[in-house]
Amino acid sequence: MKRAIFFLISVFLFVNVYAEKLDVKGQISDELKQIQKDSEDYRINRDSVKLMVRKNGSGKEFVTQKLIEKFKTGDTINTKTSGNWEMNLKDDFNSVVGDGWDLTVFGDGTRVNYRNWKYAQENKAKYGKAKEMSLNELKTAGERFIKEELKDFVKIGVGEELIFMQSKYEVDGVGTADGTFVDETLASNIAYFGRKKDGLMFVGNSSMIIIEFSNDRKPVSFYYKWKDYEELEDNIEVASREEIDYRISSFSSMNFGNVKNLDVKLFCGIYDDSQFVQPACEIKQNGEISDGEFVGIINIIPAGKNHAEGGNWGELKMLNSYGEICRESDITGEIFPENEK
Amino acid sequence: MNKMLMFLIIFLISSFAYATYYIGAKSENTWENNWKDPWRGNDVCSYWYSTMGYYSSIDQISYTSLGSAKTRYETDGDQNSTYGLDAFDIYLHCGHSGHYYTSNDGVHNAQWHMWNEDTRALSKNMRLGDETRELKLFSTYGCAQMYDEDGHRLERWNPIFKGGLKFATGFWELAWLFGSDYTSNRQLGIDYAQYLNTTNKTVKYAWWDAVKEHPDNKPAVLASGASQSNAASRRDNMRMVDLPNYSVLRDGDVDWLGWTQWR
Repeated sequence: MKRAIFFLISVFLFVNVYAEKLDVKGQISDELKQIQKDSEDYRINRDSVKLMVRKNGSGKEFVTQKLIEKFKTGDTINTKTSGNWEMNLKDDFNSVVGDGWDLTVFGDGTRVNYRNWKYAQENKAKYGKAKEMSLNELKTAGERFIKEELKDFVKIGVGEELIFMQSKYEVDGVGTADGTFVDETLASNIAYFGRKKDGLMFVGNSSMIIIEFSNDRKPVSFYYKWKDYEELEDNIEVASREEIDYRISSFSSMNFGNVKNLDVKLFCGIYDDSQFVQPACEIKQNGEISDGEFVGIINIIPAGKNHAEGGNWGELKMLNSYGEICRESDITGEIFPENEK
Repeated sequence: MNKMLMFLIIFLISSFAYATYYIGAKSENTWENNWKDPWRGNDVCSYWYSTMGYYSSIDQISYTSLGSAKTRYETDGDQNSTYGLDAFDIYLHCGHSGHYYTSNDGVHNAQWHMWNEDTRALSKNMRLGDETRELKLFSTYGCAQMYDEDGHRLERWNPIFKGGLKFATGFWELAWLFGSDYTSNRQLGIDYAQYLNTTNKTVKYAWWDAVKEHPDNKPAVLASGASQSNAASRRDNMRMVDLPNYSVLRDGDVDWLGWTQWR
């Protein structure tokens, strides 16, 4: 009888102490909030922006070898090529697979993805199943990793700075199929970084770094899309706030009037259009298009009075083809306060 | 006789070693009478489908629109050998999706939108993995079909997994796309195909690594399991290359589901 009671108490304790749904969610950094506020207040708070052009990377073969060499004696980020490992050389990427890790180097070597899944998996609850890294901890650890370990690959040039954007968390869970039991564990902590040049943010995911830390707070994955640029003699004059707003209304994708709880976020700065870097505003719209159904669309709005052409920029091509089309969209009310319409 | 036997053995071994996967995709950019907002699902699905086709282990079966496709998702028509979801080993949907409560029977559903006005495939009518090729991996680039803020995700997905489906990838909240940057949208589909085939990534990380570049994407994955540890192991270890080797769990064998959410 005592044994049965002891067993029941043990089961009760196990279920209540260890089985839980984690209340863990990523957050936006203060830096990104400030960029959003400045964008909403001023769009781009300057008269002109120096035009920049992309420089070619050093090639995926060179970067692959350099990364393997750099991390071959690493602890949690390692590229040990002893034992079983395999390299695949494809036209547009190289893939290297080792014992518990994989590395992919794309194109000219300026886009790279590395993951040590084995270490992350084996150390899931080591630090604590619900002990996530705070925003500040992620910012500090991520910056340190980028500046110390990735400094030969991610170069922060003159007038450039790294911007911590947000946190995200990987949560693993299991539950009974009928949903009566649920248990979750923090698997990794994720930091997103962006880039500023002369105080202007790269928008539209055009330059970014993602660093992941395992549950025990060791770096286990990095992803970067990071090119070098060359300043040209030309300046791009920044369009007025009214002109930019007009274009946002004209060229935003979501304008059919059937979106509930529309949320609009604006981030202005510069955009790598695949050839040039020029002034632009990223507009992110999301909302509910019917009960239980959502949509999220991003548009990159040209924000110069003039632009350099030749890159792959859909909205700029539309602007050049159709001009400044007046179209009162759903988001007009969101971005133009009543007294400014 | 011995030669015949030898030939048969070699044939069986080689067909196992070079097992081909049947793949399919359906997607849409616009919907009938604009009953849903335009969203460039075709960018992702078309490039995923064509990139998958570069690999010798892949047989492309069909890539079609979402017009009149409801029956291809639901159990009455999913066995169709060209267009039904069970005609494939791996399938990708790119378009609007979400969750949907049917008040007449009190069921919480995951839903996939068809092109036709007011037409949805509902999870309560879906049972994948039990016919034709027995779908093993079901991916969706669309919003909120793995929604769980109300605690009903397992209720929504249980009927689907009971057919024997092994793994699903999707989103628990928003999935983002560019309105006009087609190249970036397409790259996402290309990356998912390449990560599945070339990098030996688990399905879970092939999905996350392909979709993580949008900082506000909220992806998730689900795997069936016979026990708590089995569900966790299938969630963490399943790769495209060994999808057929994992046991098929159906009906009462699906006692557990494992998931990962990026929040």
